[in-house]
Amino acid sequence: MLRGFGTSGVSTGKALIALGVFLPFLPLFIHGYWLHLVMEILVLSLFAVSLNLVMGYGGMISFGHAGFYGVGLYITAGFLKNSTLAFPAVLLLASAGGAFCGLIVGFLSVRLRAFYFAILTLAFGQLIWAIIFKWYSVTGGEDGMIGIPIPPFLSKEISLYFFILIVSAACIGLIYWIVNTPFGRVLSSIRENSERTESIGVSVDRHRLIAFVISTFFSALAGGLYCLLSRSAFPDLVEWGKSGEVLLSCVLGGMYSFVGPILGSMMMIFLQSVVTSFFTERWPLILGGIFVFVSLAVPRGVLGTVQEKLGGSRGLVKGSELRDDH
Amino acid sequence: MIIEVEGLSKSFGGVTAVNDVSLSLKKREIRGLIGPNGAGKTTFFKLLAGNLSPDRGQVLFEGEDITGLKPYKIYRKGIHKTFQHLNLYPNLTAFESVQLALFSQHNRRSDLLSWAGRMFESEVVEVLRSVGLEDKSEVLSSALSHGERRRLDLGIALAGSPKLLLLDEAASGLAPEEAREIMDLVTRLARERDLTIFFVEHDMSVVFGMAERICVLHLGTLIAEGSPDEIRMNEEVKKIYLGE
Repeated sequence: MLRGFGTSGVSTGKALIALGVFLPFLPLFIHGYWLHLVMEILVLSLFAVSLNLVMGYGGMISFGHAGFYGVGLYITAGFLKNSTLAFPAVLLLASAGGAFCGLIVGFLSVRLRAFYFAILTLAFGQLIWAIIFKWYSVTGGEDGMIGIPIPPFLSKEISLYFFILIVSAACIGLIYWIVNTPFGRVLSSIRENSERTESIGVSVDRHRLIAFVISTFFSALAGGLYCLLSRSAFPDLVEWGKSGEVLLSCVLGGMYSFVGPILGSMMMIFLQSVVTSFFTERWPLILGGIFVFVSLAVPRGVLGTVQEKLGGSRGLVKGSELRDDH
Repeated sequence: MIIEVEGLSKSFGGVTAVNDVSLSLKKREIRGLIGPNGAGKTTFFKLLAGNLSPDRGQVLFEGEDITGLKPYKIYRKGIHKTFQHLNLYPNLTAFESVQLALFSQHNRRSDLLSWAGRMFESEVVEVLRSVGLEDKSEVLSSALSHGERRRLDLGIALAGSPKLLLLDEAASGLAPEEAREIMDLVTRLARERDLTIFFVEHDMSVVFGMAERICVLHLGTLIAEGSPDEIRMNEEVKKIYLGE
């Protein structure tokens, strides 16, 4: 039987486990700048996988996810700088804050479809950016927040690496679980054929809303993790360009597979680091170029294209390969 | 009475698709709905299943007013529907498609804790067997033959014990032999499971062979109702429908 990863002999579960086994040993081989890059990849991977829950699985293209990432980023920065709240509570609060914004935005958006949904989420994302940009007394406006004190136990590079690795791996694992529950299956079926799913007793909008809130929770958590890494917060990270970057990571790696967005994040961060080290100001241009290239040459993403070559051709949107039973 | 429809009407712009239709079905009845193209049969079924909401009129299901409820709520009351134009999940297997309906039926739609895997396997297999697809459980819907897709459509609707089954041309596009086979299957399942069946079908030999009573729609209006023999003899039906 044709089934995405099954046919190519690389199941999603195995790929995730292989990464999980390999990554803890990474600091033996690299450190400094390169380890920092890997941490950025981990954070972006979590962000991309959580976006892909609504995009690849739910069929809702959100152009405003950087807004929720930003809520997590700024809540973490603000509380670490100005309060004595315990650190785990700060991260939890950041995620919950993102999910709360996600609930409001989702409530107003999920009934819209396709293009209209994308535009409305873009507008809300920019609204969050505008609030952060203008609310100078709290966020520092355009100057952002710098010198965020992070907990002493994370001050060493190695401990920060393991913290980010464990949290992002655990969250990605949780999302992997979610897409394989009845909830996740029903979510994919909505993407496949929402009319039929509604006529088998599913409240489509409510289901989409739950997925959206879960997605924004983890996106905000990714924002919180990024704060630990950069020890700063800037409005640039909340703007629609960031939404486009994470969206492109999903599309680049392959949004119709679970590990696609992780692969896409790796490619994105490495490309960015290579490009910016040669011509600092040209990144947006290159990013746009990648977008055009992916859209024209590998519309199903790198992983989707590889799968197609290995597993024979099937339709463009493949429900079954979004998960596997092994 | 399992379902009672009173004065149901629906217009699109200036066109009245369903005009003041009243009818009712007894429990365990097998009822056919016929009418020339554009008579409003599909619209009428969509009004019953909640895909459209009526301009006027009322639908009572087991005595409860379900007029204008959303499709998912009507499904949960026990009214399941198949589709005139096949409406399946091309990239899901037969097993997965039926399993989805069972998640819904068992109230596990939003279950975030269990691994879906082979959940409800025995029930899914049972449904697939009842529609003759037990060998196709791992085949993608898009790879099934037209007849098999019709069976799967029926299977999805049958999963989770419906009370009233609305079949909107469940055998459309099939060769007469195969159409009869499917409708025989429906009749048998209805008897076994105490189902009430309300069906639209083009093949008159199927309708007259299977239905206990028949309703005739013409330009949105219910013009006749009766046993197959009564409908056969009805002058008005002959004139406007059978073209005599």
